[in-house]
Amino acid sequence: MIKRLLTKIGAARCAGLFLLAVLLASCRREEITVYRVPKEKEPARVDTQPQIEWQTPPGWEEQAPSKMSLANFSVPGDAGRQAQLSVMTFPGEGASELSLVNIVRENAGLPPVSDEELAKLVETVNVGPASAKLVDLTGAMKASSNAAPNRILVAVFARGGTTWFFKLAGDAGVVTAQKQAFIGFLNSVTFVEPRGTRVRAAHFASTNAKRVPIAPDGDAGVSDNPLDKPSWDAPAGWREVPRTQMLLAKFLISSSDGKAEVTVSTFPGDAGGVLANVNRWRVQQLGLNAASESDLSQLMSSLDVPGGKAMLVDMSGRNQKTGEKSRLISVIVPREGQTWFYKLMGDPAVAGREKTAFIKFVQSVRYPNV
Amino acid sequence: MFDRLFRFFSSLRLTVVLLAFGIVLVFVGTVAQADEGLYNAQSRYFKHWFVQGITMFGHHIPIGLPGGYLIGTLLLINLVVAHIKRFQLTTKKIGIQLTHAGVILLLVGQLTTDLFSRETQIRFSEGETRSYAESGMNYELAFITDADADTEEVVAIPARLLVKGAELKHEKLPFAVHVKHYWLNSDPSFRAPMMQNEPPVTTNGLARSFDFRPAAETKSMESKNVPTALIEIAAPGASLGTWVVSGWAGDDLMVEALRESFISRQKMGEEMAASIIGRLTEPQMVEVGGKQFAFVLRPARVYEPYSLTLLKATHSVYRGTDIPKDFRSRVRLENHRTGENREVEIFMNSPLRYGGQTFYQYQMVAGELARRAGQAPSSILQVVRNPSWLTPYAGCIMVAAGLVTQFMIHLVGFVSRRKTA
Repeated sequence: MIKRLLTKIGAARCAGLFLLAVLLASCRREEITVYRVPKEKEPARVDTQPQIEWQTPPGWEEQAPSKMSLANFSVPGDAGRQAQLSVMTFPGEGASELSLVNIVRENAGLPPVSDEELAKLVETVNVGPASAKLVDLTGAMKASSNAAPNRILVAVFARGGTTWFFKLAGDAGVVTAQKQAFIGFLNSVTFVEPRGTRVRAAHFASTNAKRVPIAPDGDAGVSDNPLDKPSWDAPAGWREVPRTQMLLAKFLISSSDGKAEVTVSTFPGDAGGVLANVNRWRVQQLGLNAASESDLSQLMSSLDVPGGKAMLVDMSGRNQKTGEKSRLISVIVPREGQTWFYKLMGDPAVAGREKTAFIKFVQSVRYPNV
Repeated sequence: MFDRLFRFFSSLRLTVVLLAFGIVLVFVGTVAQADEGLYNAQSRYFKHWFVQGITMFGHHIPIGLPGGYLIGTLLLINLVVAHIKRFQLTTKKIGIQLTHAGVILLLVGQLTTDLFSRETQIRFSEGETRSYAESGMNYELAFITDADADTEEVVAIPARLLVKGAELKHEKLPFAVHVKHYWLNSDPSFRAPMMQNEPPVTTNGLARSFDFRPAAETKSMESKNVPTALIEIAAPGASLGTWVVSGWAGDDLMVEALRESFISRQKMGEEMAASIIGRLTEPQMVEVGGKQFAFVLRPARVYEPYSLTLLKATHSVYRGTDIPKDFRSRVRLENHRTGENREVEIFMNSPLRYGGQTFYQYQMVAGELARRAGQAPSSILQVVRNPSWLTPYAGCIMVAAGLVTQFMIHLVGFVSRRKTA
């Protein structure tokens, strides 16, 4: 009898356990996994990027190419004024001259032109062996850009399945003075036929003695070590605490009426842009509505810092982690291809009282390599 | 309590009810494949515990049904408990016991196959080496950074976690990934400078050259869903920017399909197609704390401790026709752990079984086909991991042996009774 009962209990339990095991096994959740693998060999690619060679006019300075351009030059003028020349390509050809010119005009914020107007606007120039249309855009100005170039010359043409743009843009005086040099530069261009070999070659080659360093994958101008720490004078009463990953420094400010914290971080490039960062603070940290590009000018004020100007933003909302009232004061310092972020955030009373000290702190920063 | 439970699970009535539900489920699940697609219907009806709402002939019917897992598991419990209840260790019943045990093995085997089996593919051209297989259906967002001179560290986020609004973090990533949009299926279009385009969704990386728009989820067996996501990468203190990641850029099969469509449908030259594809596959990177992270939405990968190198892909056809005669991949299998290094031929009905997996010859672009397409000969192997692949064979042998034994016992008994009479 006892044996029989045990068998029964065992059977029911076994069945239950089995069901549980199967349920658990089927509830495997997909999770983030981390593993190490041998590096993949760089896939050999047929190099189809067009290549050119040129003679740089005197005074022009070659700069590293970017992802968007094959070559860049800084063209200096009088009294610190300057212009910029960039060479860009897009795959494909076959568009009409009119549409090419209108693309350039549209990019410069100008209305499109008709066929009749086109003849007045363009002249023909030789870019090496190719014939190009040189478009003169006087008064071009991009509404969103702070440093608006006020004259643009663009030579545009299609060749070898590629549409080429040579753009000289900048101060009207410099562009006018350098127009002949620009045309001379265009004439000096020679095209190097793609070798078609399976190499990962540089996208351009210069005949100048001074070769432009080719940035890996076009990521030019990024500091090798963005964590080169600057030095600063932190106000008394700020307590430096161990920084977390990605922060250069962190300070805590505590007083009887609340607390606040100051963080310092830096990122290569524009770190996603000012608007994206301001909106991330507004939406994710303060629970405010996202600002538009036009709101930005009202939100930001300019701040003098060593070596240039910085942007200061001061906003109040509710801390999205604690739900309490919070004030965020931030200074964005764009500098030599890096963007530095200084942020003071905390109880409104503390943040308001520390604002002056915070600004002094930001102005006291001595950057590496200065 | 135990008595009642025991009686319930061992009752023949339960068996009949479950079998009836099983018949209904198989019917409904089969009909639904026309509307929901084979993969979806199989997953929803047979690989779930419950089915919420069914589709019949284009109509949605809001009723619930027990799913394949529930019916299978209950049937299994029913059979096991009944087996225990009625078990008698006599030679007379040995055949029935064996048959029951065989059926139990079949059920358990099917369940474990469903739960633990995995199908992936290895795609390679002649001369290429692979130490991983890729999923044919699932994608992952992989962040890759150099670990040391020879190895790289991969943080793989399954695409199922990429839902709109999600914030994904991992201790190995010095930033968070905010998913702004996720489309299960998408179509790409090249942002030709000659065409009137809306501004790009973001000015970083891939989005500068390609637009993506959501597409209806495909349910057909011939096509697959290619996802695209808009993600923001945010380190503490600053947004690093917004990027588009897409299966169209990270899945070699889709990249090749797109290249072919540029050439054949859009009548582009090979050179221009290659140039546009170059922009599609240009690596996207973000640099944080001096470390570069490349990221790509690619087919989910499974790495193995060994590698296969495709030495030769042979695709022969019957003379004068396109009818395939033989698909054959000669591969080199290398395993540094065991020191193995040997050549294997994989062809139809002759798979390679290695490391708990089976490598079947699946598809191939070789011979005349590859020459016409201007490609290097390549091969696709279907890699199946099924830890319980032997159970159906063992189960069937046990059922057959049980039935034969039972029949022989009766036959011998009958014959001897006749003799006595």
